[in-house]
Amino acid sequence: MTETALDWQRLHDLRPADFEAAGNRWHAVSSRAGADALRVGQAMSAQLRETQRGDAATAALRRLRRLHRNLDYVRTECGLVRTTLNGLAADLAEPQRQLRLALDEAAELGFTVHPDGSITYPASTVHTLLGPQDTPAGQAAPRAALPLDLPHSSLDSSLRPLNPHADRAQALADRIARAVRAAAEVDARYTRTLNGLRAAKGLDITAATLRDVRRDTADVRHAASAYLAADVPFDATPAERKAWWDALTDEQRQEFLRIAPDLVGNLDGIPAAARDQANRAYLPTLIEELAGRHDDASQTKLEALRLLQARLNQPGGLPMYLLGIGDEGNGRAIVAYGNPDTSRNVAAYVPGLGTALDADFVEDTMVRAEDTAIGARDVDPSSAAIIWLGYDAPQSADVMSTGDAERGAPAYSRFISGLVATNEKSDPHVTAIGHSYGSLTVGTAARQTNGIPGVDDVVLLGSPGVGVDRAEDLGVGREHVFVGAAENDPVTRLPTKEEFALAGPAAFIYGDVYDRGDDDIYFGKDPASAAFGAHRFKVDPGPAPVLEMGGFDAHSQYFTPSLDSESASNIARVVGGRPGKITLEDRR
Amino acid sequence: MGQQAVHHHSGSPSVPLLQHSRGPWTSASATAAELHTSTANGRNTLRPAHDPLTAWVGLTAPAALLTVLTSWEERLAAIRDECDHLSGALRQVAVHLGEVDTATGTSLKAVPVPTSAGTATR
Repeated sequence: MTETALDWQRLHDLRPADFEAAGNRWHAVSSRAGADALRVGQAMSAQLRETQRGDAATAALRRLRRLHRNLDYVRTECGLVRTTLNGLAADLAEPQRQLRLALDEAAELGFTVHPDGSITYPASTVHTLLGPQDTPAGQAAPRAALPLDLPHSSLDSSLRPLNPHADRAQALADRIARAVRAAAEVDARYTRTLNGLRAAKGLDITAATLRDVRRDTADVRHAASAYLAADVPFDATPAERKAWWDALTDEQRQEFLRIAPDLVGNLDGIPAAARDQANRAYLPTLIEELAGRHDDASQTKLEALRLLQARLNQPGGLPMYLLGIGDEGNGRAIVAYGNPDTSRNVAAYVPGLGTALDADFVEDTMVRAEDTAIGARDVDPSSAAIIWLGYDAPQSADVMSTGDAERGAPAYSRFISGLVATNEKSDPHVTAIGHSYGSLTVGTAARQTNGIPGVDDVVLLGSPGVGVDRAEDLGVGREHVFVGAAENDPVTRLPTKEEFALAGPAAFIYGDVYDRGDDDIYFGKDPASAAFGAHRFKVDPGPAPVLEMGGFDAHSQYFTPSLDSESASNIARVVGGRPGKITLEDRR
Repeated sequence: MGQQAVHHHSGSPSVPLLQHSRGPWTSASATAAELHTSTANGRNTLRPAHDPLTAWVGLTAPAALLTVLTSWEERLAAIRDECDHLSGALRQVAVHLGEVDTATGTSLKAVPVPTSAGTATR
């Protein structure tokens, strides 16, 4: 070992708290720069109001802008240094702990640990069948390799018994060596990260500078990932997560939101504003990742995310909250129109057949939630509506099964629990909306023992069946179940699986299987039927699939006022808390 | 806007801090002067916090950290100095645009006094 390499004594003497203390200073500088940047921003905006400035003033203004960017740069990078130091301190703690445990054991056994990591053990007496035998003292040399890579201690070829201390000493020497090696690995990893955090020279902030900052953020996120993720309550309930988030200091929250937004952005139970901030911060990272992959699925999601980003940045319209974003499966996106935490009425809509994170999702599916929010706010201004794509919906009618709904239902329930946990009203009015296959997802969640905790009303639109035969099995009481089914919506008339198998998909729409006159459909009782017993509200019949070449159009217009104002109004009435005002339709 | 009190910041009589009736350029100049101080102070607190780390042998991170520290001390020094220069430049603009009377340091906007030349402020 060289003079300056890490050895066990140096590891033993390390005080990780020294790194944290230095980190606090970096944080103070970062924080101060952030506050100063705000002040410069305010100073600049006053100047911008003036129209006639002249050259000197224009030049001064340019320098103010540069100063503003510099302060932002300080705030971000010094914050990264602080997180790096905290991560380093945290990651060194475990090897140090392992070392101390080993040293304590050695001391208890009366072994001597030498500076080079070897361990001497005393002589011992072994009781054998031939009587007590003396075994001499010895020394175990450290081996840093992992246990499985090491040969078993070789048997002494002579018949003399081994000193029982030998194996224990060897094990301890190995543990000490491994602890040192682990600490050295941590040190090397963080040294690499620190090397990237040097300030650029001068006062310029260029596009290259900003790229460096993004790369540094990703680096630190990666290097300090164990530290950052350590306290995040992934396995807790939404209510517990809310309590955890509330108990964090503002700077702890900022650390997550700036450096590891992906850890908290999708956590049900984190307040909407924080999730929104986290996911908006994470969105460019996700876009960049997808841009680097060239398969079709990634490109589709990439297109969707770019469109989504543009929409989020568009001024005007209802306030949007990005509550979730991800590229797993067919993609994940949860978008609220209106603030779900401050609204008295909150609806969460589960889309169905054919939905995935693609351009259509942003340009069409999301708009349905927006329309619902606008309509509901006419009924009660304190309303918000959410599109929840938190599962993989089936992509075609041919391959529909209950599996996707069964996988999506628990996630949806957890999401609703999160809404309830973070909503600031004492008793928010929550509506679950399931459209198409999404109604089966909602139904699957709702038919569980306690229903979907927190949901007051259920709206089922264009449903192929919800997995139960009666409205009262959905956990809210049949008075609180509302169904919209357009006469010409083929999805609401899908035959049962048996009939489907006989007739085939094309035949059922275009052939005489279409109108069968019974109320059993693909996933159970038709929710629009008298037997199911829900409220059925009026919707436009929609264009006939064959005669008017409407195809599946009647399936897709429930939310859209310009295409089906009756349906959109009725949905709004339920969501906005005025179900008594819906216009009723005879059940089938 | 009533009275203007003129307080000269001790140690830098060339940069009066006006308590009332400041125009935006004068105000920005004062802000830059304050940032000059706060940046200097923040910068000075960094190195002492790293003293315990210099005793650490065997790790490479402390040395890397000290290099990072040096680089940021330089950057913060550059920002500190820029704040100082910018404060002066902004004050020049304030004068140039007629926000401030160089002789008295009072805000011209606050005391509209018609003069024989017809200008509204003095």
